[in-house]
Amino acid sequence: MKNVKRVLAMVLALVLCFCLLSGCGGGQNETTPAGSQQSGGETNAPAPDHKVRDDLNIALTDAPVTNDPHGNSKDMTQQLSHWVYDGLILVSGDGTIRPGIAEYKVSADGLTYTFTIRNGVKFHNGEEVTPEDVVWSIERCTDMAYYKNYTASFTDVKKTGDKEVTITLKNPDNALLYNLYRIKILNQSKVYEIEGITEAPKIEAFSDKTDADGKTVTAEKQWKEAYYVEKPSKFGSVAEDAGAGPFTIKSYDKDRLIELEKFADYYDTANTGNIKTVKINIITENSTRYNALLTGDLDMVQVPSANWEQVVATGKFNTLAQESATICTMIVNHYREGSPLGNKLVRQAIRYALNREAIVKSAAKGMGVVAYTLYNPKYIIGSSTVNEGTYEYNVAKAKELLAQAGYPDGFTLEQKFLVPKTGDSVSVAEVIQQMLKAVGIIVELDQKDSSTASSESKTGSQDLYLTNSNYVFHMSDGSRAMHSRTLKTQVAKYALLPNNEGETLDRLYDSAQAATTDAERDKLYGELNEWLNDQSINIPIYYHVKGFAWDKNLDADLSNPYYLYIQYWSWK
Amino acid sequence: MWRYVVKRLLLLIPVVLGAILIIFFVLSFSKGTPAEILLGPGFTQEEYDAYNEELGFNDPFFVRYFRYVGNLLKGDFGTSYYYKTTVWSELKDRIPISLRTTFMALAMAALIGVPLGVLTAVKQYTALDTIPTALAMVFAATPVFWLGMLLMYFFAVKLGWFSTLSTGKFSDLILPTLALGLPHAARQMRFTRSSMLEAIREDYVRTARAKGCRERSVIWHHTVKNALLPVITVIGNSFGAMFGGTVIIEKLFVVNGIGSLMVKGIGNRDVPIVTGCVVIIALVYSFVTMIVDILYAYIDPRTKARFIK
Repeated sequence: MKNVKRVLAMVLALVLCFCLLSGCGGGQNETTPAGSQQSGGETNAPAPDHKVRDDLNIALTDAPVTNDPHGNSKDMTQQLSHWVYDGLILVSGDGTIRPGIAEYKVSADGLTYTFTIRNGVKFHNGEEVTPEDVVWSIERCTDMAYYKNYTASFTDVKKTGDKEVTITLKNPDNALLYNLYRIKILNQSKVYEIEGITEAPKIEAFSDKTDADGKTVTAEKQWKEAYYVEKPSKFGSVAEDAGAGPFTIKSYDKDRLIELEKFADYYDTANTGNIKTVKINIITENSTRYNALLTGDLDMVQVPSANWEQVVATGKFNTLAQESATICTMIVNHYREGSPLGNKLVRQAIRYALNREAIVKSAAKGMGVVAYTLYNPKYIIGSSTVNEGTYEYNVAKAKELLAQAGYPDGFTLEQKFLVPKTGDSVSVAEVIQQMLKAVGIIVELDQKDSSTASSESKTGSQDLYLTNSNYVFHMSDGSRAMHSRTLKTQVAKYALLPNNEGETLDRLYDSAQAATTDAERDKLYGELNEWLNDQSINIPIYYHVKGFAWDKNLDADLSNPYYLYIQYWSWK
Repeated sequence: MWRYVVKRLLLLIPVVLGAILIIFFVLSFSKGTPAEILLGPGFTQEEYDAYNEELGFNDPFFVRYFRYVGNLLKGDFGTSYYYKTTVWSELKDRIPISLRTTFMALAMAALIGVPLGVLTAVKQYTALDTIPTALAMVFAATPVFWLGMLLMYFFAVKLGWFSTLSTGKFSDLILPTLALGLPHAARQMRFTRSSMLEAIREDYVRTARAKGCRERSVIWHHTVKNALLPVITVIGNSFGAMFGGTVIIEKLFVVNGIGSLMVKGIGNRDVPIVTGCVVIIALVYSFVTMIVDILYAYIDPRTKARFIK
């Protein structure tokens, strides 16, 4: 009996050790050069009788909220919309803009855009796209919470020919084409029907009027608003065949599996790959997606940072570490009365105190690229004049600035450092906390779930706030988050800077968005970035690097950092 | 007996109302409004207020509470702030999934845990006691998430016996059932063993042996029947823990149950969704507890006598 007990004790001890060891592991990931492609070994040439696949299995990290492309701006909803719906403008796999459903001309003053719908462009139900559908789709956006900002500069949208639509603007808007990319064209007759029309007044009972923003609201629009109702749809909130994009929706279990089929009559035939059916699995758990890639259940995944080195080492997949537009920043509360953070020298000192390379290497597991500016000039309408090396790590400089500001021994912040408990944020915040301590700035961490942190951040109850933001390529997103018109809901609150300094931000945004030439825009956004850097309120830390791995027989262009463009992918 | 059943069913009402009140209270006074979370950054305060108004979130707490209860009595769970569809349409497909996962795990836990518990008690101080007890300690202490990842790694990735994704086949249920059920099987085994050891030392067992009953009869007719009473309660409580706690398994094995819906609803401050989930969980749990109590009455003549006068 004693021997049995001894043996058992040893077995148990071994099991416990195994448990402990299996919990460790996943060493430091080295950052591969952003945008570089690694094959990780020899490519296996397909055998002569190799059957080329035409199906694709991928995963989204979260479920789309709706299949209505105008119904929500969250990433996964947008991702699905880019596969199923097209707009007047398309974006190629490498992120360049080109005409979509329509060709376009721009007037010399940049105030009038004329779109001519291409011949043979059809919706998934076979009906041709008409100017009425285009006008209705754009007008629909003016009533949708997420999209009204994209049409904010529009004075008028109207049909001006058999296949022509003209958009007139209040002022030039260099983000317009990117905004139009987001506004998908829907088949009006598939989305709405008229209810109770036999009893309702005729359209003649309405007349055109001008609303508070100076826009014309047509009689037809008013009549439709009074009597149109949404049709019940087989899937989600929009009919499954109301789009004109490269894929149609075959099935839609939005929290589990969405199946797409290639649209046989898709107009853009020169630019599509050979994928005919797509299964989009909704898998929120990183490890499950990664395991599914290893078993071949998925053909492509975004690899969790903890598994990046492992997947590269297997040599079984094509891999790409892609710098993204998601940026980790720390926002400083500059407007709390009596706070040392109200002094620009102190904020600049904080910036010099941060060793961003060390933060990326340690806290972000190497999956990041040091950021010098909020707006990555590679991926958005940014500026080529950004100065790399701005505010490089320099403890001596940080202490010198603190001394100049009247804090030679540093200080303790009264309010906390708010950190959302997502991804690597907590690790990053802990490293930053230590770096600030090294220059004499003491602050306590306050970790909250992301929804609570996001809400609290707007109240000013924290002194520092770590956030990850996705500044997509059109500047309307950036300006909305910082312009004084959204002051009450901002975190950075530039408009509260003393001596009306915040007006500089509005002025630079508005003039940059209205710039009519690339050179002018580049210069103005350069000034904007310089001003933002100087203020050091929203301190850029690093751009997230996303790691992708995919089947070696799949020719996938992943150079666009925002969305996957599977319509351009092909199996070899 | 029927009076008892009706009485228990009526008791469900204050339980559910209390659960709804707590959820409303917690979500109403948590930081963040649905508009801020659903719209995201970059909107004016007026736009957020208008959206909250549209959702009915700006109404006073008790107005919303009584409106919800009133609608619930008519079978209306409300409309999701996030999905913009009825809460019931989100729930109706997920309830059977969660119930199936939970019942399978519970059945597995009971079918493994109870017989093993009996065996280890009867064969106390032998290898048939020591080894299962040791394993039970390990599994009882193992976090469900970690066990699930381990099972997926070995059986799906390494051995390729199962798919990592949900394919609609029966085999998809095996790994989630094991991950959820094994820790509970371990706990039930230990509890059954403990209960058996207590019962086996009772005077009536000694009397049965003294009367010359066969050992099998002593164990199964005298000891197990008495030892099983507290075990049934534990099994019933396990159901509650499993049903409400399937969220971890659902996330890992891509199972769309009620747990993952509730967690998502909490993150989005989607009060109708969270309240709907809590109502369902409270109803199911109360119903199962009632079944357990009724079973008690059938198994234990003393309890039965109390209800049948």
